[in-house]
Amino acid sequence: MKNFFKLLNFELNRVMKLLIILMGFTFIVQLVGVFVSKNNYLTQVEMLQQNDGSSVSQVLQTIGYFSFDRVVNSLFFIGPIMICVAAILFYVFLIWYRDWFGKNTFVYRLLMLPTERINLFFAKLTTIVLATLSLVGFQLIAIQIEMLVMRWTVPGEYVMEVTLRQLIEFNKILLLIVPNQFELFMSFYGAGILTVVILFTAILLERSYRLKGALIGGTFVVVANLLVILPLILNETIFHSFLYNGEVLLIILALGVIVLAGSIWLSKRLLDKKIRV
Amino acid sequence: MNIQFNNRDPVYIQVIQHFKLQIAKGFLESGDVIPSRRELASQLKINPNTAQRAYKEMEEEGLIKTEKNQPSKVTHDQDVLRGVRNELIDEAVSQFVDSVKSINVPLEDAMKLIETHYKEKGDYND
Amino acid sequence: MIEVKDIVKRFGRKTVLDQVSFTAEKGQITCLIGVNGMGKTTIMNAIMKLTPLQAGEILVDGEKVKKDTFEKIVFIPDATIMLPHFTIEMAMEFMKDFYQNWNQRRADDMLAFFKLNRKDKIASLSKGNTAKVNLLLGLAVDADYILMDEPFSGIDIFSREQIAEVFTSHLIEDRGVLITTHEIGDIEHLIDKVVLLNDGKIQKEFMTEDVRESEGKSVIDVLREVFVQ
Repeated sequence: MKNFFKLLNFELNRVMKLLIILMGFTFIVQLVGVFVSKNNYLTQVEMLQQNDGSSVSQVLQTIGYFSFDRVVNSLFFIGPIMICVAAILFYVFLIWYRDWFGKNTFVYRLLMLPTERINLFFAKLTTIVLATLSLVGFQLIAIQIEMLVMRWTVPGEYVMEVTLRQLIEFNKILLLIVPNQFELFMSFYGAGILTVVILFTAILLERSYRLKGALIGGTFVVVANLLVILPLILNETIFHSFLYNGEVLLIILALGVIVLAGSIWLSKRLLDKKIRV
Repeated sequence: MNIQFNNRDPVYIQVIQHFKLQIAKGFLESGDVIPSRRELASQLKINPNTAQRAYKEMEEEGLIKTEKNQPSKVTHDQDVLRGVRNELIDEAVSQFVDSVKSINVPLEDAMKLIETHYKEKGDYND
Repeated sequence: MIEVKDIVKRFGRKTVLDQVSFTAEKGQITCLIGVNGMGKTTIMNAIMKLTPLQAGEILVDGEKVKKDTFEKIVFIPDATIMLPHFTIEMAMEFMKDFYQNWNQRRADDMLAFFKLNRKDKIASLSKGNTAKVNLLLGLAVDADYILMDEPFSGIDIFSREQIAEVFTSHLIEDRGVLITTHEIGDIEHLIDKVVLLNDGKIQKEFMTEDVRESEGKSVIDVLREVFVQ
């Protein structure tokens, strides 16, 4: 256990730079997004006032209030989130492969540490989870700051206040990264963790059997995922919604746990007996 | 201390030979402290096991003595030390005789040659 | 004792190790010599469980290699296996973190002996110094057995001499050492035992002093007999 935390600490230090870059990038681009949205809106306001001589209430009637929702729906806001998601997905692979393909083959050292090798797996998995959560957490803080900036720069009479909760409810992508119900949150992140575990196992298959392993790994990913959502597919097709959604979800949960356990077991075996440097 | 080892004779025998030479030349005298096994190994750049073996052989031959928790010393036994010198001289002469005999040099010629060469090179060598 | 028993390793259709068996004892320096090919490194990797075998087993002091075994057997490969952006100090810190048997005093001694600077980044080191850091990180673990893959290859003569000196010092004494090399010349006098590997098979296993004594042959002589036919 002590070694797990040492390894985790070590992996977190390695990912820190990337996280800081991603956070900085997200914040800056989203801030730019705030100014672009604000400028667009205020330009419209100005045009209406100058050309048509509209009053504030007339302006509001024509183009509506300025709410943070406008910012959230722009590419400046969504883009960085997409890039963060892509970066994490990329890192799922990088976190293993760089130990084999770096300038120095660090995987020798890692595999020869006097600790259970599965600790490497768990340390890397936890790193991915914590990295994701810290990006999400940062995003929530960043939104607050961005809203503050909006309030400073847009005249109060045009601003419609929205809470973070409302913002999330009305935006599909935000809803995906921070589900507003506990069960939803757990199942989204549970599914996320399961996906990462399955991908890790596929990576270890490839690292153990190389080309042949890549094919097995690819098959493994497809089969494992199919297995988990199989109840959903069957219920929709063959059984014509014989089961309630809750029941299907329970079966999916059970299958998910089984696939998770199986995947971890296979990874442990591969690390202990089959892995190659 | 430096020895040029050859690769075909056991290293431990070459180490013993080296010590015998030192004794015969008088560089090592009775009661002198000799390096520890580990020191010897690193001085001569040989395996510590080999140094160990050489010392063991030398102890058995009575060349050196090791008392508990004391550094090894050259023996006080003068007979043994003289023996070493005689053994080396004997070996050298017998080698020389073998070579000259094999090319049929008569004893007298050989003696003369020895005398000339000996004088040319001075009384002492290194 | 490290016991390698009938190990078989195939890469695809190519058999790299064919029923290879030999032992390396504690307190001895055993040298694995092969003129060509990868067999030697594969054996080292197999001992450390860094590559799977098709058959056979490897025991260290009578036990299969498990996590605790890595405290008593260390492997020093011929390439650096620390992160390039680490300084020597950070690398030592890392080792200290994970190995109970890490001996910092010994590490400091070697740092001084090799004249290395603890603030230097590993990526910035010369080949010779990289090899020395490698050696330091391995030897500073108080392990019973040390595996070294080609410790002398591709480095300058002075570094070679310094590394050879390590073999005759207290750093190695009483431990079991298994090293691979293809240039025996440098270390002929240092080794106790030779294991000759050719075409994936063990050709001969002998004690160096024994063949010198009973047959009057140098290690090279024996190699010549085995390999040049």
